[in-house]
Amino acid sequence: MIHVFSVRWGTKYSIDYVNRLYNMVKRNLRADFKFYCQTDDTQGMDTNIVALPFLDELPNSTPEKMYASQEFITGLPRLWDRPKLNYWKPNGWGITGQKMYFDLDLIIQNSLLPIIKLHKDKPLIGRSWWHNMDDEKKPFWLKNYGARCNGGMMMWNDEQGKSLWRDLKKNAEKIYFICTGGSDNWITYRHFDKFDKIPPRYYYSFNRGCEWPHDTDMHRHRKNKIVCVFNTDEYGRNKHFQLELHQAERNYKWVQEYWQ
Amino acid sequence: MGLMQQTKMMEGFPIPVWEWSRQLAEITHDYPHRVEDFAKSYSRNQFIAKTWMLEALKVYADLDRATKWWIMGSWYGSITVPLIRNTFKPTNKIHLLDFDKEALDIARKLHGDYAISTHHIDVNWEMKRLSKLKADVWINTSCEHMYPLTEEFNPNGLCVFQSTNFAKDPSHINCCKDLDEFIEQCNFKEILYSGEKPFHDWDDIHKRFMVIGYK
Repeated sequence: MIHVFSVRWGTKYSIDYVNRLYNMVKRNLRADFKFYCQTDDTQGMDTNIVALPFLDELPNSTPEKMYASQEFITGLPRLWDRPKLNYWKPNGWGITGQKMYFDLDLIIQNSLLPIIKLHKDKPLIGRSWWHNMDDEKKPFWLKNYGARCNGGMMMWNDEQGKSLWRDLKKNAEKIYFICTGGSDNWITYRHFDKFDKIPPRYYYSFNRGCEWPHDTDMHRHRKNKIVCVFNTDEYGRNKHFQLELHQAERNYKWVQEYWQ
Repeated sequence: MGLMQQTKMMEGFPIPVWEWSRQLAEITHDYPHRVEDFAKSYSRNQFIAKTWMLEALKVYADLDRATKWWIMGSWYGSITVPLIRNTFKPTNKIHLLDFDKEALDIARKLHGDYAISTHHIDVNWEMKRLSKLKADVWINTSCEHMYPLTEEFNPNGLCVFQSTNFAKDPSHINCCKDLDEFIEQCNFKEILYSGEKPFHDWDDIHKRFMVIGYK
């Protein structure tokens, strides 16, 4: 049994995002699985999806408390995707075993089996292979506590999550303060070497491309890959041309075919 | 040392800037991704911040050759190390702490192992341990880049902290809105000096703050 998690809060992503992610998993995961969504808004949610309440063990980690807190920087809460941290709790919600997480804004194009086979002794996470690796070496990357992984997709088990959860339980406030960019920044800063990375032959970004320096075209379909993330952010390359998944759906037929 | 003697005028320079020529050539070859960063370490802005600190220390602190100096978030120590060496002629090595290992590797080449001792440490996570060290002066001119030193960092030595209200730089995770807020963050029991200066030439809104005192 594989436990597949997602999370939704606020109004940025409609319930369609959750339901379609579930459908994509169903089409591409030929194994027993249960699909969960950590959310407080289940209206319109597919009845096969198990709703999970937001855990409250980490300080100011529920969306409500996070937005009520004073811990803001450049208009967003510091470490703005705190609910995602809850998945690292071993046996969280009483769920134990092999776990998989997906961001809502991605498409699954092919069978997940090749990625699942990669999950062995270490937890598994996406890598931002599309980054300019010369830039990653530059001191500003370190000074900005910049992310090098992409947590759009992750796989782990309870044992592998223990040290991350310990770090969060002990240091949550400091981690929020420092890792202003989000949970990917925290994983890069504190735990990067503990993870295996999903290779670029399976993973790419609609808005960034696949692998620097030779394969960085944005908005290009790479049909043999498995997961396509739609990471958008204000520091990204060609930021004015970045599209959210629902925007891409309106413009690209191949996106429509997968995202249903 | 060699055939070429330094001139009296060179000996009068507070900083041996000719060392940067050799160092920059090495960085260009060995660390091309750091050339811009190294150049920034001796910008006019950096000179103002560091000379301001040394001028204040000369007036407000009781320091001598035996003083033990520790610099947190030291970067390359490009300006601070030679200024301390020129001003106070320390008999002990100056300790540089940074989580940027390459910056420390370059610092050792720049200043020499006889002048400095480097420590590859992330101050954010070592504040309690550092508090126990026997240091006379703790310099941190990069408070805006770090978790506040308010509670966990409680050393016996003199603390010299700088920060800024320039929040547009994404690496500035810990800006203070004004000098009063920075003083509160420093959490000193005794303040010897506090002041502010313009952060850059473009506007008079953004400031650099400095507080000198004891925790």
